[in-house]
Amino acid sequence: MDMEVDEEVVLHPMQTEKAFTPTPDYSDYKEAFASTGTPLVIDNGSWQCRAGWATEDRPRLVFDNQMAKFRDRKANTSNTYIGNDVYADVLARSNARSAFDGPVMCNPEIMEAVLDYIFIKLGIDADRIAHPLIMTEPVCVPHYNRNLMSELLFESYQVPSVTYGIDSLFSLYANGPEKSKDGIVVSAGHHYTHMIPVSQGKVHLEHAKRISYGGEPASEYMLKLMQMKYPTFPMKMTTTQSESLLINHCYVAKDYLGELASYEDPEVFKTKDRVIQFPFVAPVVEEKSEEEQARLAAKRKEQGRRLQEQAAKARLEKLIQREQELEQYNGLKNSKTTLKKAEWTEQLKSMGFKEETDLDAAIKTTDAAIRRARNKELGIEEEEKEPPTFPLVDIPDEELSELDRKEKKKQRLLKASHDARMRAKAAKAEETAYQEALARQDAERREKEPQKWLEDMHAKRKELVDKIKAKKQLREQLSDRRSHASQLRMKSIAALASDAPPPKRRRKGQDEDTFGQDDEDWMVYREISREDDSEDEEEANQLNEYEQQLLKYDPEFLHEHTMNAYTPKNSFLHYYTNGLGPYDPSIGLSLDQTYQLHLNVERIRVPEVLFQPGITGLDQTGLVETMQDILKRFDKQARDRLVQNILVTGGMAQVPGLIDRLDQSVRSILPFSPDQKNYSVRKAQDCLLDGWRGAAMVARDSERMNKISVTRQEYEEYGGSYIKEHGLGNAHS
Amino acid sequence: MGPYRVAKGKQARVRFGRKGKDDEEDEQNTGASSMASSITGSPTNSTNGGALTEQTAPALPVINMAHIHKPFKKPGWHASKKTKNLKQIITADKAKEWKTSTPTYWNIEALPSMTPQKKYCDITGLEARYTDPKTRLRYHSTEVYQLIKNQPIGVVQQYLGLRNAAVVLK
Repeated sequence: MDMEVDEEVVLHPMQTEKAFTPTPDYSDYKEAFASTGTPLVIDNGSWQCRAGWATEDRPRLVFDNQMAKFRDRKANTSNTYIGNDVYADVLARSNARSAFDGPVMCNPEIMEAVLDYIFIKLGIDADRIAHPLIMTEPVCVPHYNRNLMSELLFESYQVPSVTYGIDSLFSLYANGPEKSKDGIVVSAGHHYTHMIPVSQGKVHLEHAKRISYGGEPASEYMLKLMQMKYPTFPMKMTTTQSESLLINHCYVAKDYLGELASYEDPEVFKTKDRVIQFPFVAPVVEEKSEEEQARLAAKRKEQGRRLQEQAAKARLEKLIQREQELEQYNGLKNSKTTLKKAEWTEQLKSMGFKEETDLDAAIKTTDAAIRRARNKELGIEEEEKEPPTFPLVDIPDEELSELDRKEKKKQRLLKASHDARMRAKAAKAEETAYQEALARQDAERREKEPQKWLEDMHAKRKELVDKIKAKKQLREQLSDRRSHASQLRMKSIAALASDAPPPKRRRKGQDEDTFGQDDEDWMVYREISREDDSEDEEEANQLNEYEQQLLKYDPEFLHEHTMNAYTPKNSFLHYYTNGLGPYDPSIGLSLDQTYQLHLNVERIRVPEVLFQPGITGLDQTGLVETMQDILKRFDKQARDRLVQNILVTGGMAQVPGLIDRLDQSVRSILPFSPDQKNYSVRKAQDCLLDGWRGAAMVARDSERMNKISVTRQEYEEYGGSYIKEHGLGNAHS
Repeated sequence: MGPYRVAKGKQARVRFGRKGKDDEEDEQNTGASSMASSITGSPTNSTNGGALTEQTAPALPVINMAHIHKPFKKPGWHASKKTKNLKQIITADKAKEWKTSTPTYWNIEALPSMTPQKKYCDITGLEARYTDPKTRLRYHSTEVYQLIKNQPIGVVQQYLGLRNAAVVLK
């Protein structure tokens, strides 16, 4: 088989934000629903809200349950967007809020806005909502929150009656109304997973159990896992994106430990690894055409010429100026003979010179500058600069005048600096010559005896590597308090700090502490300091040099043998983060590869938390153990009835493999029955919409509705938290 | 771009809540149009089918609820702006007297597990048969251990935080 062929790697694109999808408007209220009293069904979920008319078979409106209220500064308008409309505007997206705190509705203001939106979209234009309402509420919702909802509905919208129920129980009803008198419903929701047993038509909420894991904790966990796995990822990942990873790529393993072990096998890994490609902007290398390049070159030449002209003009001006100055100075000098001394010194001072020597120096420099400029223009080579002379330095002080002595001091300083510069130059030249000689020698040796040179190089490298490793080990040992090295260190610190002299040195006349007089004594501080990395960089550079040489001249020394080699391609850690696609260790990751995520073990790890909440540190029983726990609370006959109708519903129920795994697990906790299957685990027909459908089925049964709904009078009499118990809702407490 | 190809049918679209019978239809229609066509009553605005992508000028108008008249509301009544945290509500409720048999929001939580927990590697997620005594991280193999040894304390705490075992200073 040809192993060199690169197999295709499938990329899954990841979009940066949720796309906007419009929610339709409906205008058939007047003809179809006004003054009919058709019940309105609202499945008010913390993730998605579904609303519609009870007479239809699916909800008319399905949108994310959120609101964005903000003020647009530029347009100076206040804006309120609800549901999926939030994704249409960038400002709205960042201002999105939900009425829910967990699964419970806590913010009636936002809830009011959402309900307004639902009624507007359905086209209701009456002066009140004259339709009985059936709504879903969380399991065991606190009275306070139900009161908030009832108050909102009765006071603001003046609905005639409200019925509250539990969405998963409605789903149980929708998936077989005849069977729904007995069963266990597993509600895999957004925040929690509830397991509610129903026996002989009665909902046993006192035996219901709630696992604190659901769609939202799962997305959070996925996000954290990705962030830990790719700490240097160039983009920031959001919960929305990790949610999409959860929805599109996660599955439940039938045998978790076996599946985990299979990921270690590269062959199997290749088929199960998912590569997620984030969008990125490749740096644009513009290739200009021939004419463009020629045009740009011409432009640049033009600019250069212009600059040259300007410089020439400036030089000319300067030259003229200097000549004028020279004339002035010369004139002044010459006038010394004609003017009186006092006048002449005054003129000198007015020109800015203190003494005649300064004037002479100025004349000399300007003259030299003019001559240089002239020569340059004419193109004559400049004569060699003579080394500066310091004549006064050698003459002893007594022979010189006051002025000359000052001069001498100046000259001595200048000479010293000049000498120092010469010395430094010489030393550098010597150093470079020495290095070159060494390199030449090395190269010669390499040519003459390649084998021996290689061996030498390897030996040198090994020595250095051992030294570095020993240092590293020592440092590690020192950080562990119980190691021998650490204890030795403690001993030396104690010895240094103790005031009592060591007993062995009690000799007469030698009581003085001579610590510190010898330079070597201070090395003991080097030993006790834990962090001595001053030589690390040098050593690293030296090692790098050796390795470069070896890479160049030794055919067997490859990149993976160097000290800082990347983990080899076939180590699990490597393909865990980088997959098994094309990879060159000398280059590292290509640009598109740095924007890729590899989703492998996380695909099964995130949903597994439902079965083993201990994975995220939740101290709760998983799905199967909870099921066992619930079943234990019923007698044998009830148990047999319950397990015949185990229904899994809700968003997380859509994870592939969940039902099979649950089925297998339930079989393992039930008594042995070889002849026939004495249990049934099934998924709701429509995991997301069946809650709404069940509620609509109940709403269509007007007789039942009359018995279980809370009318406006009852609300006013008994308060907002009053409900009537029916087989598909919370208990009255 | 070499050996890469993009997964079929997954062109920059997240599938939210549209599983089931709609899967085949999804390729041609967006959710809105497929829903509208199967319901009696005509929607006011024409649906644009699958032409809509990102938020560049949505074909259907979005409703700015701030400027719309809502006739069905009783004038003068507004929901209270003061909201209570769920935590506050639960704490207040717990203080009241309840019969032990009554199911409440907090007492239906699943009980702590009695079965022994399997340990998984904090770095890779595979089975972990070893624990690092210094950092208390669980690891799968020596290779992973080499990685753990060099991690700074912040990263170690983050890994522990994944399974709620980090040190929390209050």
